[in-house]
Amino acid sequence: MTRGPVWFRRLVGGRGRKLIFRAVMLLLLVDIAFIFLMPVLRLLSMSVMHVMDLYDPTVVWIPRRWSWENYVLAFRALEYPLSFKNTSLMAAGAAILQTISCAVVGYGFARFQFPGRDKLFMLVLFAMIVPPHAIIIQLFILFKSLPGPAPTYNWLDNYLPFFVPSAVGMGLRGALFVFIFRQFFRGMPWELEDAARIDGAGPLRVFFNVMLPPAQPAIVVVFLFSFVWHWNDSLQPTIFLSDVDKYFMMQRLSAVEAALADMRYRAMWGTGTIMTAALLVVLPLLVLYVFTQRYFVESIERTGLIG
Amino acid sequence: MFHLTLRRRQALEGYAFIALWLAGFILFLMLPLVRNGLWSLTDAELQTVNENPAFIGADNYIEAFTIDIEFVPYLLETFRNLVIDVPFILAFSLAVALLAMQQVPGIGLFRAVFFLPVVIGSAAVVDRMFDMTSNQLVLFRGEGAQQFLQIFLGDRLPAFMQFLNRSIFVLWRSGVQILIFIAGLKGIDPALYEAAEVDGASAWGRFWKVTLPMLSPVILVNIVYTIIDSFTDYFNRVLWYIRLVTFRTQLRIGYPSALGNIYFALIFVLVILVFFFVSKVTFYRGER
Repeated sequence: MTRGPVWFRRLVGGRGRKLIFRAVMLLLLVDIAFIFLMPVLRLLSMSVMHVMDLYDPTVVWIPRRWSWENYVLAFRALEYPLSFKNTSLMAAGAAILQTISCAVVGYGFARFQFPGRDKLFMLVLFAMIVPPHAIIIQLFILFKSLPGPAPTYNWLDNYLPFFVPSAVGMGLRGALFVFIFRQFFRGMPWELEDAARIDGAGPLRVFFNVMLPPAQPAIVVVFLFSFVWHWNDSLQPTIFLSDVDKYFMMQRLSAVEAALADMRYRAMWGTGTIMTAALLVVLPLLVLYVFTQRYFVESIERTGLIG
Repeated sequence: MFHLTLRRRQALEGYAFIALWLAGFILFLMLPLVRNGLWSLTDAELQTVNENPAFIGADNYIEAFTIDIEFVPYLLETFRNLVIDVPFILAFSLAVALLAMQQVPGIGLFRAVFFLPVVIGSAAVVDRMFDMTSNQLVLFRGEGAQQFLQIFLGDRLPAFMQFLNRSIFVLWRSGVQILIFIAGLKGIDPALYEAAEVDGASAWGRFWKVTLPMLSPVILVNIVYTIIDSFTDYFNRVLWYIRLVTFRTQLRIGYPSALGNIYFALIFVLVILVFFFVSKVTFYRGER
């Protein structure tokens, strides 16, 4: 398998070499995995510690005085059931809409010949590099002027700013998803599509019945990305929502932090609670990932995202 | 029913598929951008949006570079970080992707862990995870590592710890890049490796002569992604500053709009430049 430099080859025999190579590889893998896991484990460990343990230098990972207080506090401060409901409704809705719309648009760019297609696709790339911050104030003004449901009668304080742009393939990193789908559909063989066409299927039918089912890996990736990014976004909700009952997790987290900021400088009291709150915010994502992880990893390997 | 040629019909269908997106693009992106451009030339405030703000020409732009003492330093800081971070992130994510491709028992588990940053790599949460109370690193708390390093580094310890912290933080931001690299690696034709091996290329040689050239389009994608990502990052000082200005000045929107435009124009030029130069050394196989 590996040959390695000459001195190394002289030193170690064939099987030994392979073994050493494997060992080094495993060590590196464990090392990198550690970098990624450590902060999460650290959060976990700190979240069950009593404040006294944070001061105790002899306590490293395993708390000496176990305490669930952080969880109780963070749970209450985040208004967990309510903000969980709000956030998951928004993230799931936006992700579903975005996945469908971006697949449609990506397919349009990938499989049809029409004048100006490549120029229009440049617009997708352009949309990809516009930072959301650059236009957020204007979006706020726009959404404020659009007619919407009660009580505000515009688009603020409801989910429309998240759902409508997603439904047309814009929204949070929508352009990236269009790009991913376009690359994916471009890489698919023409035969099936042609056959369906010859049999008289219309373009929509071809899209939903022939092209979408094999696109499952790309769909999983885009959905998960979209869900995660919507869940984690803190810019849009801060601008578009002011009603406390509509708050998402990220806003609650900022609020918790702001409330405890004063305390934190004086003692470690707030720290554990904020850490726990942060953990609670990403916990649903972690759970989701644990269940979809296998599928996700496989998907990426099968799609070849980049085509 | 009209009789359309095949080509015409195809074109119409194509437009139909992207029509909604185009409408969204105009409404949710072009319109705000154009308005932003117009307003940056005025003294508009959020309260008086509808009362015809006065046109003040390029004053906002001039103010950004002459009167404002904070904007330019933040801008420079962002660019400096970018120059440091991009090669670092790319090298690291490529290394991880290569490792993740190895056939080692339990590799599935490792891969799952490597994608973790994508899932919880939310800036806001990572921020809390790396949050240091006073200057204690969460990462090294009570590990004795600091005391150990103190022996070697002495006074330079805090700087070193800062560097270490930042590196790990940077590594945490390479989740998507790792993913893109893995996808790219999967796309390389195994026949190329076999051919190289038959010709006697070592693993090292294969990396430089097969992997890297074949991966170059993906590297380009990753460079552009990383640039955009770090420019729109939650921690980005320029964006933070623009936010601050917006709320500090009674929601004056003319000036922050100008700042945003300058910033965006710079990103745009940079991405175009990178695209232009990197695509010259990018290798496309066969048909393209």
